[in-house]
Amino acid sequence: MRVYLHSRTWFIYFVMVIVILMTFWHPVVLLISLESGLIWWKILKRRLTMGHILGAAALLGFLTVINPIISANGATILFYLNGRAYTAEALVYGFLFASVMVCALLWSVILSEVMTTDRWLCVCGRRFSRTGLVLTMVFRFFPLFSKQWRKIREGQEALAGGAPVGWKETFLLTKRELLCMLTWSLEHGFVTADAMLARGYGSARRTYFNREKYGAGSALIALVLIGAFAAVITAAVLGGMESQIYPYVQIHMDGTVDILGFTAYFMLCHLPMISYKVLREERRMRS
Amino acid sequence: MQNKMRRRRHNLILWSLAVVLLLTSFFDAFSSVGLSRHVFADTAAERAGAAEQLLTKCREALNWKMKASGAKSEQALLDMMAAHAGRSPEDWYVLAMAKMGLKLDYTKYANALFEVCKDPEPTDVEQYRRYLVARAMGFEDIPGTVPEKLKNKGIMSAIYRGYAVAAGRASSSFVYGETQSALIDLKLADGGYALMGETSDVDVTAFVLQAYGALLGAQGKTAAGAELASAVRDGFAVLGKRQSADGGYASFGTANAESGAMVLLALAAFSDKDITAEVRNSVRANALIEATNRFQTAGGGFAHALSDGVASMENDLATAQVMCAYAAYASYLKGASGRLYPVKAAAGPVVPTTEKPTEMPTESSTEETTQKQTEASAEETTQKQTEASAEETTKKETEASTEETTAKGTEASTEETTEETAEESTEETAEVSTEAATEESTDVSEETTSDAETTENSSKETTIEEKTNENSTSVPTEGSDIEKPEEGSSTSARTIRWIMTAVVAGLILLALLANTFSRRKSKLTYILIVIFGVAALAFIWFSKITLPEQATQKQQQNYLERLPAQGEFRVTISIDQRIEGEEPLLTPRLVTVSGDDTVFDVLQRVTTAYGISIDYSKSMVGTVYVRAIGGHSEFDRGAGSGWVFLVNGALATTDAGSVKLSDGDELRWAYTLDLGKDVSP
Repeated sequence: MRVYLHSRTWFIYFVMVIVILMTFWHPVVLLISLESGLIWWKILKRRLTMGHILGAAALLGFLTVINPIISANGATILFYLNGRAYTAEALVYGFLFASVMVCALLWSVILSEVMTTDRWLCVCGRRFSRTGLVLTMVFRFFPLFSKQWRKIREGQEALAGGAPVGWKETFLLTKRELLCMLTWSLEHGFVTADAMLARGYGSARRTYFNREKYGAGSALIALVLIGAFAAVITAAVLGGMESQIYPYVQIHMDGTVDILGFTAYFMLCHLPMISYKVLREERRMRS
Repeated sequence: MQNKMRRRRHNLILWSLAVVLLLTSFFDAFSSVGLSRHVFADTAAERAGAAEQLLTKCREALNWKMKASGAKSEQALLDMMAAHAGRSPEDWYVLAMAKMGLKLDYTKYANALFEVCKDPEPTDVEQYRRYLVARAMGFEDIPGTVPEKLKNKGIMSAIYRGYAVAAGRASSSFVYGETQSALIDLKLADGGYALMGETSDVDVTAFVLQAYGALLGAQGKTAAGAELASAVRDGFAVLGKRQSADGGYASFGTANAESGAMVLLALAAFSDKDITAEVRNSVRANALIEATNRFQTAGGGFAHALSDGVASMENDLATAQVMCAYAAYASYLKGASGRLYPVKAAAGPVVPTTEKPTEMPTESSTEETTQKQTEASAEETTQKQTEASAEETTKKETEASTEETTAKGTEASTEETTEETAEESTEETAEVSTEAATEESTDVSEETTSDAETTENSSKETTIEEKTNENSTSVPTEGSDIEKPEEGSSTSARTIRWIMTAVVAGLILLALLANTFSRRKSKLTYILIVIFGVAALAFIWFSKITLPEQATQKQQQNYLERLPAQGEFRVTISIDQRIEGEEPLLTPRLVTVSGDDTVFDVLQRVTTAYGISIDYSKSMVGTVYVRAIGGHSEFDRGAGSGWVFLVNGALATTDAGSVKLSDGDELRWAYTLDLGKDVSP
């Protein structure tokens, strides 16, 4: 079944997931995020390497261990390190913080994969077309820049007959590369500006073209997603899904309200996966 | 090739620079703070000051007693009390006066005591106690001593036998090892002791510990053995557990002065060489003294219990026992023996009873007395024993001890035979025991030599020997062997260090592996990881790790609650997180601080001692900001929330690192919700 989702639905979806992920520092929420994030990776056919897993584990461990050294908050003292209390709560806080970081990294990759340039333009729409343009240009800048830089480096190395040796050579080469880069950017900018002028940019009212149609399916799914988000927020307002770390670790996860909230978040995370076929097609077409 | 080499060298220089920078930044950040400033040790001067205070309290109590009984002088009081010699409060008073080091003529009291000792059927406890009082007054023994019948095998008689044996009672048919194991056998599951039942009792436990202290003093640490050491540790642990928050002790639900006095005596009974500081600090001694002081009435005497929080009715037994405890503890603080009764060091190695004939009664023990003793009926002695123990232990359930003693008493008659067979070798053993005179006995007897001589003339029975002055050859009394170092805390710290090392090593390995598996692996990352790992390991191994151990915390609490010495005073500190329905982190507490301590120093010390975590930042110029106490952090409850402190109710206007306290100040740390506006009264 091919389920097509409108860009705005996607946008709402990512905003809601990331907001909940960043604001609810709750182990269950983090677990759901992680699990759905990994499924997304599978859907988007990204490779999950050993390096990813080990790196994430190292980051988790490092932030967990380092946090109590920075913050001596928390009531349960494990021991004193140079006279400062090393507390169990700070360890838990560090672990949760690291988990949030890892999940956020995971989701940002998904976001960049799904939210392509045309989707951003569509999200911004007729109303914020200029913002959309700037946004896409910014998004496009870094990949373009690094791609061009690599090209220049390859050319320079071919000319010099090998990679630079010693810091002096490296420095000189980098300087030259930077100069090339600058002139190329200027030239490229002129070319783009000329091309835009030739096509009549700024001469009249801007036209707006969008290939996508906001269908009933997209609207329905958006509504369900918003409903799920509202359910999570309601659960939080009612006092569920609470995780308090200082001064004592108190994590609620077995109340009715809590379970309701988690279910809603689970739905929120997983529902858009029904359009995986479309995403895969898009990906294939792009590459 | 050469180029590559040069490149490597450059890298090496760069990275070693980076390592140095990293390390220095670590140490800069963490070496400025630390517990190293807080050395928890009390000096000799502090101890002497505290001892002086205790002796002042003793003198006040004695003045009250003199006023109450209408005696003009201490000597008059002593002579007046001779009418009741051998009874409970009077004997305690005499013990206290002897321990206070008053130079008095004890002749009249001693004579009266000796008269009482002619009682044909004494209980073991009575016998022992009279003997001990005589010894405390400086006499070697009681003329016409009746060898103990050992009818009663109750705990009180075992305890007093312990004192008597340690004091070198020649007639004792028990030697150290057996007396000691008899007491250790009575230990309950929780480590304490009781007259009956399975719940340990504070008074009885303290009594037993005093006996242990005496035995340890007599035998030396090596001879006493590990069994005694563990029994002592358990006993003090029980006392530590039973100590109430204010430092005092309660017996049968009522906080009373006597129980506290007994515990203080137990503490004083051990020299610093006998037990480790950890064991000693199970009981917060200074808080105990503070709590006991509350029982002092306006007149100077001590009350048994408080009525509506005020000590109003003086009690003889309470006054006498507190005096004893204070005098003994003062003696301990001054570095002398804190044992209430004199202790005689064991001559030579201690051999079990079966191999060596038991020590014998003195010359005066005649056929008559032994005859009398054998005729004594078991039931009557048991009755007396009950009375004595009831008096001693501040009105315990008398029925309880009756049951106990009658049950045990019937079994005791078998012991008599060993005594009779051993009578022949009197002379030798008696001499051995007197030769080994301890410091304690010389101290007392030096003062009272003249008194003793007069007694010798007046009383026909020539039993009092004054060999102590001539024969005071140095016999090691207290365990002179090297004290076992306190391993407990350091090993745990080492464990933590190793755990942290393992964690960091694991993380390094993880990071290295991650780099290996990643698509864009670089040499630089490897080097960075290794450098960071080495820095982290260095940080772990060079930083100071201390555990929030119960024992160290007790030690620190004890130090905080010490009696103020020169340049020190007491302030009240409280920490209140101000949450409805939650106990404050620290209820108001009296702590002793020195004049140089800032509010922050006090906070840091108190929080360390009571196991409360704090988070703070210290600027280069020394200003301190306390971010969190006990996990309650700034901004937890609104934008204007955080910790402020009030001195005598006035909100501080400057940082905690620059405010100093003065005597009697009331320091309050409070969590404010509105920049301190809500905490000000």
